[in-house]
Amino acid sequence: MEITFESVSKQYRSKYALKNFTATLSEGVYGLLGENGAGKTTLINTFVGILRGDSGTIRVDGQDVRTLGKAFLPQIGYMPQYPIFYRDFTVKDFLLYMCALKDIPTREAQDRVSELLATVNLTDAQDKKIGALSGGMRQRVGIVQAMLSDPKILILDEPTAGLDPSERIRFRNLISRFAQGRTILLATHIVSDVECIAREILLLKQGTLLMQGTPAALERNIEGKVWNVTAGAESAALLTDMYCVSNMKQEGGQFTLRIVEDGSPIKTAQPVQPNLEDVFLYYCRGERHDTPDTV
Amino acid sequence: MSVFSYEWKKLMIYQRGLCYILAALLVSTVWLAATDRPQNSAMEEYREEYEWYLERLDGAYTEEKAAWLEQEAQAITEARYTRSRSQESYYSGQITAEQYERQIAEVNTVLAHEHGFEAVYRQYLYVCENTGNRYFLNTNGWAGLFSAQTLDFSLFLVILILAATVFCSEYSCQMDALLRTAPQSRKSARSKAVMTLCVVFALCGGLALIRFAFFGIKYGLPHGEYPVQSIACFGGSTKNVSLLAAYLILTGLRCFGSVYLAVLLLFTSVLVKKYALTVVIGVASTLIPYIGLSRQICYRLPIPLPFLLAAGFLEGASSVEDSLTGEPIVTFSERSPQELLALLVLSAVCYALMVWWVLRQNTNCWQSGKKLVRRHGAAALGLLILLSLSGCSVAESANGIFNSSSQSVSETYSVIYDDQTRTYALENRATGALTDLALSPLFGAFSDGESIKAVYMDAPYIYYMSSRTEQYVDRVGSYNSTATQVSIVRLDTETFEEQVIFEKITDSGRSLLGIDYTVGDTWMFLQYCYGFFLNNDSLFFITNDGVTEVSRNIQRTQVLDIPTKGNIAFDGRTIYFINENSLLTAYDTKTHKERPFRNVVASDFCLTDQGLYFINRMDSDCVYLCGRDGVGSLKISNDPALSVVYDGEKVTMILKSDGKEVVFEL
Amino acid sequence: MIRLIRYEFIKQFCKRSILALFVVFSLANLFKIYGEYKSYSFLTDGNGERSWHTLHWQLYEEYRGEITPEKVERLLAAYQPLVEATSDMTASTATDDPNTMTGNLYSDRNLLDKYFVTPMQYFYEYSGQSEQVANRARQSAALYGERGAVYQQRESGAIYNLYAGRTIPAFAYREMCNYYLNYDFSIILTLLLCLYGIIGTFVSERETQMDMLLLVSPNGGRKTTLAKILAATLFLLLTSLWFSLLDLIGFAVSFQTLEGLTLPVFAIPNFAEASVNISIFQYVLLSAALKCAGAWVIGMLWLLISMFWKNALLPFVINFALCMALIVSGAACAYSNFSKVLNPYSLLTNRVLLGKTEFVNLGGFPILTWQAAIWFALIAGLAVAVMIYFLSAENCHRCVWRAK
Repeated sequence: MEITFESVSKQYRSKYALKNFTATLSEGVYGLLGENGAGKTTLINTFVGILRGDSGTIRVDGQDVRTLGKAFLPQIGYMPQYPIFYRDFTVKDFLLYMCALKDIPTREAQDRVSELLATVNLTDAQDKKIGALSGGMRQRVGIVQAMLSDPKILILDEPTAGLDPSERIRFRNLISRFAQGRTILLATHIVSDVECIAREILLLKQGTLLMQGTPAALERNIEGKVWNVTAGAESAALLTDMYCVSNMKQEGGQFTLRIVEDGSPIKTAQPVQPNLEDVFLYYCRGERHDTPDTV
Repeated sequence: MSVFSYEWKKLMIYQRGLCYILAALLVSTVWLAATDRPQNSAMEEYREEYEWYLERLDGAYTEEKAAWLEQEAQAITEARYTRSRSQESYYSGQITAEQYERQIAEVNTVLAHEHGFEAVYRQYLYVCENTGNRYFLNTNGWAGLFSAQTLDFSLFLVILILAATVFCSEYSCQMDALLRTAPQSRKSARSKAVMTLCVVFALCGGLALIRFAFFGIKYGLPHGEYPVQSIACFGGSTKNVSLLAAYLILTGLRCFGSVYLAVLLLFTSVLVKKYALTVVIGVASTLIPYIGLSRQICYRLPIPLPFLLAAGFLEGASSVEDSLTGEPIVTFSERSPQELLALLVLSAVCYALMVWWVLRQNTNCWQSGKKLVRRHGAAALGLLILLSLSGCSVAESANGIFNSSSQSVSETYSVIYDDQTRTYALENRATGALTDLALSPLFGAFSDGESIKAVYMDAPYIYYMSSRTEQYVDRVGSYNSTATQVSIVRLDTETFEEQVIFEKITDSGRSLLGIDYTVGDTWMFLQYCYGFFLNNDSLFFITNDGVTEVSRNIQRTQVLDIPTKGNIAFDGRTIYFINENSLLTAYDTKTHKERPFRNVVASDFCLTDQGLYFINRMDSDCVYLCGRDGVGSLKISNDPALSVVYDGEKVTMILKSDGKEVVFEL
Repeated sequence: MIRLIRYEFIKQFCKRSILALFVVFSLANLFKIYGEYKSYSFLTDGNGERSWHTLHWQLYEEYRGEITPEKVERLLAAYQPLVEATSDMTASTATDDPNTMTGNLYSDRNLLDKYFVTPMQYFYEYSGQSEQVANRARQSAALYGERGAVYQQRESGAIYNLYAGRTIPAFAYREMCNYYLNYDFSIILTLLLCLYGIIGTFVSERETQMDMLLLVSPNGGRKTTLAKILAATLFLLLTSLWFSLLDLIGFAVSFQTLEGLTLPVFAIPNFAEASVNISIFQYVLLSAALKCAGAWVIGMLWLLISMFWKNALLPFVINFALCMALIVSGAACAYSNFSKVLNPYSLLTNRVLLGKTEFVNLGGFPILTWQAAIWFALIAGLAVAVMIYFLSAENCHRCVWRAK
């Protein structure tokens, strides 16, 4: 399956939320990174048909989504940001309701719900009311409802926001599991969530696609631009003010700073291997970098 | 389960829609049962007698029926005269008992249905105004059914709750986005809209059905095929519609109005996405035109209100007289079927546009065809807003003795009526000092229309009935519209404390916060009342037509079959009176049973602590005394008397021979 | 605290929807007032030379001010011939009679009768009638005194004090004031707007899940509740005042005059028994204050009810139903002085309190119903506000600290 975005734009009054977004996605997990307000949710809402784009075309396997119309929707599974769902519904009832909305026949729906609940380890909670679930359990209900129609495309908007580390890891593993034979678009600003599972990263800034590439390629792109500096407390404070610091560790009164900068910030600085967080910081910190669209 | 079933479960079970619907049905039914009064109480009180006439008159007016009715009127007048003449002749010994019995039997045949005759004759006068489309029938059922001409608030509140919940609940739990990505999103929205509208339609229809069943069972709804003009509220209508068809039309229009209101709320909820704003817009769009605009304008607006009220679409034109120029001012002009149709079409277009917009807003962009124009919705709402703009205490009482023919006296005070000034004064029996009975210095000071109409004494209390005519501003440019208020005030002669224990507006048509409401003719009789008495349970008002009992708790009225030509006496439980056959009769107000004293034929009587003094027609009008149960008659005087009066202390008789007063000291 | 109140006010009441409703309701009110003028006043026939409007104001200049025997004689000299000429109803009905002011004899008589003779007669006779009331009150007081009925004696004394010396010395145009004092429509707008504003005070915190955050803030909990109560009070008062002011402006602009505001309030016929000896302008201020008190106590009740719900729908509908119940019970129990005093709605339609001299017996003292109503409203409102304060959620740590 190939998804192509061709110059998709969306404008709110005079401000572009999405500007000429062009990208191609195939099978696998795609991480959609960007600061708050970069246009991630607008892109997702436009793609899933909640918002109508002002211009541009979205194609699935070469076919315009507009011409696909209703036939497009069974192909997508969507999990919104901070889902609340219906507090009075039980988990099972809610999922069966979603099956009805997704046009899944009743018998098939029962089997699918049981299977998916078992997959996400929620079988015991199926008769609990949604209002009584923890945040992590509710997120798992969210991904189950998105997977109900066995969609080819899965769109997850901030799926791990507010989860504890173990739930996040559990969730990440679930996504990897569901990625088989699917295109997953995962919007987040928690970089570590996508670092290990994403096939490619799409970096958005102010509604524009800054970069698209594999994590390794993106990291390679800023090799020699990430530095480790050891300094005293006063110097560390000064360096924090002057440079983009992605990490700071304290050990025996000395501070080790990880600085993202084109050139060596100080003479004693040691170049280190960049990670995806450094990439995010490098491209999102200011306007001065000339960047290619793809790597 | 289908999407519809889930939507049903969500709205009706989880959001308690079903509870609200049942509550509305229950409250409306209980309210109807508790507050319903017959529109024409005479028809109900003397149902059998009225039905006897109706059997002969039922249907359209004919010359034969009119002639028969006029004959009957003549016969009844003559029979009444014959009855009193026969009684006079018999009791004065001019005719024998057999002759008397025969004459009375003949008279009674004619008078067997006289009470019903009065009701039917009033109806005859109404029918005569327009004989073409006004028919004779028992109107209480239909008139009651058509009496609901105001906004049904229980229905209104339930529509607000149901319709505002449907979409706002989705927004409040942020499910709207998720629903729109589902393939069945349009179906879900459609299910919601259809379900809400069907439920509202069913609720409105259900309420109409309950009313229909209630009035059908209580009064009967005969001859649904008769013209709607047979009912007074549609008397001026020029529409050729039968009663049943009129009710069906009104129900249909109200259902349409209810559904329209629900659509407006659905539309608003999708537009503003907030519970409070949705409801306030819903309330404002209905209540502001309801209170702020005249009916004339209301019935021209393509908003839910005119359809929720509906009755005006079938009413005829009405006008009032300008207080200054005397020229008629049209208060309401009849809506022609074409105008109704145009309004319906316009409303249906707004309705359809709103439903379409609601469904579009809840449909995935990839499913919907052309580009959405959000502004259309806002503009439509703006237009709608613009259009909507343009456009008794119960005190323990020992109950003394009451005789309507005499003024009451207590140990300390007596009430004196001045024939010339038509005012009541309170006399201190010890000092002889006179004061106004209405002690308030303000009483009658600024209004000629304020006066005391009757007094009842039950020591230490004096009750008086005052009547006050007040001016109020009506809605057609006249400041001088009046409303008459009748009150019963209790004056404690020990403390001189006054307390209003009963008060009613007797005229119809008064303004409450700009809403004209009609009080009906239930309390109209109070204007013609000239005497009253009471106990802890009821108030009894004496008028020329009889004694009307009003229960003090639930204010239900009942006309008692008591002739009011002679004295009416009351001892706190039993009413004593002389019946049409001159028999002294006791009516028990608790058991509602009437007991004529077979051996006491009287021309006048009075109730005292000792018993009943009466003028015995069987013994040359001599004064007798008997117990309150009518037994143990004892002759008191050998002189024939004209009347016998008790004033609380002594019994006075006026002699037939020379008109002198003779006092019996008790 | 001031900062908290400011923020609460801005948060709850400076919303676009409220401002939009303010504008829409104000326009609706002005529209309605203009409608009253058009349908009630007889002076809406334009500015033609023979129009009632023009003639009335010309004649008014002649008769306004102190009522003197000369003015009365002059008026009667003009009016009596018209009455005589029209008494047998045979005068010409032509509307272009050059010997008349308006073009028609009947119209001339009606103009003088409605706008000059009837009001002047009422003004002239009023002092005699009130003197009569005062005398009767004095006699009643003496009678009650003999009977030892202290309360009734006091009540008669109070009536005497109110009515002794009441006069209407000057003649003025009273039509505008008449309709203004009998105008009720803005009450429903005030109530709807206040209800919409109030309903979100607690509910919106729950809807946005801010309630928990407030609870853990040092100034959260009851301090915020107090700020909310005060901000709501401010909103209720401002809304009531705005509509009172708008009513006056609307009537003054529609009738194109402010004449009559200096007349005593009992110069208006259905205020003949007014329980206050003040001018109409002072009455306007007093009425605005009473409306504020009524709106405040009803608003506090709404606030209390809305505390217990998670969204605005049910409390809105319940509060709306409560409001309708107050309105209907106010009309149904209009005869009971105690009902009037206890029903805060009567403070909003305050002519039922101020238009008649009525007392309630409080501890043996006759208190005018409007005074009792305002005291009851203030006490009830305060009690409800205290209930809101103590029923609102408080951080457990602070409760423990207070308990210690």
